[in-house]
Amino acid sequence: MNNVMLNISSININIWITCLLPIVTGGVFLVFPKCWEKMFKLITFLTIVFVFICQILIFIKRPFLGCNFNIDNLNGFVLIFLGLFSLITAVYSLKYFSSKLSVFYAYVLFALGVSNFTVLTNNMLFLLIGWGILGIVLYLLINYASPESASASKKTFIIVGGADAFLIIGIAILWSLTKSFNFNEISSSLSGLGHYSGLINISFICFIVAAIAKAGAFPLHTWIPEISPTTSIPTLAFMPASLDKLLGIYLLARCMIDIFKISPMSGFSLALVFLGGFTVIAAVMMALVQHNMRKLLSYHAVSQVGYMLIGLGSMHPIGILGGLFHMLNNTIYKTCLFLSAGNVEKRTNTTDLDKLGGLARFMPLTFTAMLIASLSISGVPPFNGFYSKWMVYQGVIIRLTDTSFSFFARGVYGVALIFALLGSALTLASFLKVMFGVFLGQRSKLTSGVKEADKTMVIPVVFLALLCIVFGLFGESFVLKYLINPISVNLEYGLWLPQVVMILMLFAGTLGVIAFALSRSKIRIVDNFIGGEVLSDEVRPRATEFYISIRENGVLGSIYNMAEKKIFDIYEVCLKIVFGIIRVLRYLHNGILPTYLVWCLIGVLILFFKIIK
Amino acid sequence: MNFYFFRDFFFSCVWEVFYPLDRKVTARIQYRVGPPWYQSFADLLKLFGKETLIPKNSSVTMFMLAPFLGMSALLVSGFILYKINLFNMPGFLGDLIVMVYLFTIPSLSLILGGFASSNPLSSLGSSREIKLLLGYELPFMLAILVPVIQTGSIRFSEIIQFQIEHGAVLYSISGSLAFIAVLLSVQAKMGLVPFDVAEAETEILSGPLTEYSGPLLGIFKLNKMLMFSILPLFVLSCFWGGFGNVNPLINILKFLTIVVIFTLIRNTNPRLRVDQALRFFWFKLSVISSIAVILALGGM
Repeated sequence: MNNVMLNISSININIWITCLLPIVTGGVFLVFPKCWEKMFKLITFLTIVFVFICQILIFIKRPFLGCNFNIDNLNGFVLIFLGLFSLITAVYSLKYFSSKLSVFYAYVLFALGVSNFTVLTNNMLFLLIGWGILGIVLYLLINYASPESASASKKTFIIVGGADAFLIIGIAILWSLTKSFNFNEISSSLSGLGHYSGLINISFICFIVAAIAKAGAFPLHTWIPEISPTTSIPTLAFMPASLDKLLGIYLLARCMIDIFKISPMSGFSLALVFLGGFTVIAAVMMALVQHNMRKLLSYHAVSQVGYMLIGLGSMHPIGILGGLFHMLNNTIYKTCLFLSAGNVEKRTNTTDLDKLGGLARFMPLTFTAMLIASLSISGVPPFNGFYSKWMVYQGVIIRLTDTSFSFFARGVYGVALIFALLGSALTLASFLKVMFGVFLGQRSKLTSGVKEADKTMVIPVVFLALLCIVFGLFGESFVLKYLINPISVNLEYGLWLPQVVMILMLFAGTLGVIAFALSRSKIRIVDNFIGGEVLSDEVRPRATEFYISIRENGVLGSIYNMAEKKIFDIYEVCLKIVFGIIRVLRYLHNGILPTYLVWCLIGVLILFFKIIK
Repeated sequence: MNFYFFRDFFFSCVWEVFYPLDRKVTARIQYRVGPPWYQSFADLLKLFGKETLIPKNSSVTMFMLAPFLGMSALLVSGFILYKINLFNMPGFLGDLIVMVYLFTIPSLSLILGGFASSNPLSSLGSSREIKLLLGYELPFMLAILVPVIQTGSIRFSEIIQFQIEHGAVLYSISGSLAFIAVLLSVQAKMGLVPFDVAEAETEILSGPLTEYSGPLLGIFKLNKMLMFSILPLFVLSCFWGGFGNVNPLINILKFLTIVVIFTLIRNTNPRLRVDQALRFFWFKLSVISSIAVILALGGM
């Protein structure tokens, strides 16, 4: 147990700053009165910026962090993004909340500190502690300023907390086998424990459960759509869209690559790839029929996890890199999308696609940012989402065309690939619905004369949209080379030169614009032509009616109906089982004295017979 | 990247227009003489001389930019195919996956343009286009997997090289099944009859294009023309060995055969409803392509 002991003096200064400073600051906010609002805001920004700088320095310099902490290729870039998204959330929520911010900032600081701690540690026990605290912080954040989300937050807490229990089991199994909590020691002793493969597999499954509950993949994803309609937008953008994705996929990658060293031929690899493909298609089909923008976005937060699982599951270097890159890209555009939805909601007080429309003129910056993020998430070149999806596909295609794999394995890879490819077309379709429902199309009563959102709400959104373009154009020369993978992996399988293609597309577009200008065509503003009909609010086409014919097509309709009755929700199913058992027990405890007396009598009789014998 | 690069790009733009052939063949089928070969270009030129009408309630920037978005993506994808097929480049700008994704941008531009014009009929047409996209994308992607599985690569140059050495993908059972699927889904990608539900002039004026006029409409028409020569070249490269034959005449003949097949399908079928099209793609054509993929995995 020696390596668990934490000697205060041995903690590295970097750990003090990145992990403990935010936690302590957050604690101070909770203790002191809330009237010093301005000072709290200032302190929060100073703390986050300071931590962010420190994270970047740790990433660049790779210092020795003491015996229980470690920085390597896998957690370095995750660390930077934790700080970045905390900063963005802090800036955005300045104008979003009308209530006092100090409590929210305290939670954000807690989340930042604890996730830094979780990511940096190489000790299983510390990981477990961090994981548990993050579950509580998530619960608190969901409940902040949204009293209606009480039941949803309970569901979240049960799912995430239940997954923590699995993590405990997994760690306990590993400890009983290796007598160590250190990642490196565990992984080196596991290779000599081939005869315990059954136990090791159970432990690995426990880790997967914890990771996918956090990241939100099928079947443990149900808490994300559940919390989305009621909780605050900064919370949605901060936890399920960015931090939880980073941490969940980080844990999964750490387990697969470092600790358990899964072979691509193994059943786990195949199962993860299939689970990923299924997550993509199931979540995206649900997203397609949503009427509420928040719920639609939350289903996409689930479906994108599928691509990461596919990439990691393929266990090919390109696929793994693609999966990790997709994790970063997903946090960027998903946060951008949630925050843009927040801008719209702040101005119109609704996220219902039926009630919105025609906002592109009034909120041009939000519209542009959301359009870029939508194209990114749908994998339209040359944005960042395409780059990482392209890498994930390559990882799968390499496995698919590898004749040393069995027919069945190649079939599974093929199915996952088709699910992923079709998933991105469906993603495009559902975001076109959002674009039409919110920004394009006809104006509704709610949306005429709306102003662009506040500066502090627009700047984060625009910044993230720019990041989408930068990551798409300089994916290899910057992100892969310096952020994710300082040791270069051979990426020679496919071919994609985003910068040249971007220049050519701009060139071609300019040619077209020049042709347009040369034609000297007169521009005239006219009324819409709809064959003499009057354009009123009644004939306004609703975005929510787009996919009715898909919904009513064949077997899909009954699947949708079942999904809406929550038959596929593992939480609801378990709930029903538990309540079924409770109902039986209720018959026994009906509070009527004679019944209890009868039970006592029966018990005494049984005891009697036992003793007499 | 230098002057020659842009010169080649320019040539590829000019080379890509095979649209007149479509009108000639159509006329022949209908026992007509047909217009002179330059008629389509004359129509285009005329559109550039007309004035541009912009609907009052539209999202102007998106409305104006949409046609150029589709055009730029098409020109770049045409450039890639042109370089690889005519210049035997070992690899150029992008691979098969890039191409599949670039081909969604023209549809995207049509959809966004229709949405931005804030006309109920345009929106209806755009929503039909999305549904059609969802329909044909599944069999299309499945069918494209067949050459990938057979050749073991996603680079065009290697796919073509493999076909030169081992015979075209089309000549295997799986390849020919996938070829049928890809032809029909590309037909829908180009928005030709029987899959022209999005524009359906007799039902919803002309769908997303209703509010477009003048040069902007011209660009959309140009996109149609470009698609009509780029997509056959894509099918040729994936399934029939590209321009890999030593005899250029045979190459051109192959290309023209594919173009004529599209025209024949267009002229001999009535328009489907969008739900019929969806059912056709999902429950019929996808089955064929899935069988093709399974056969390809089995090495047939």
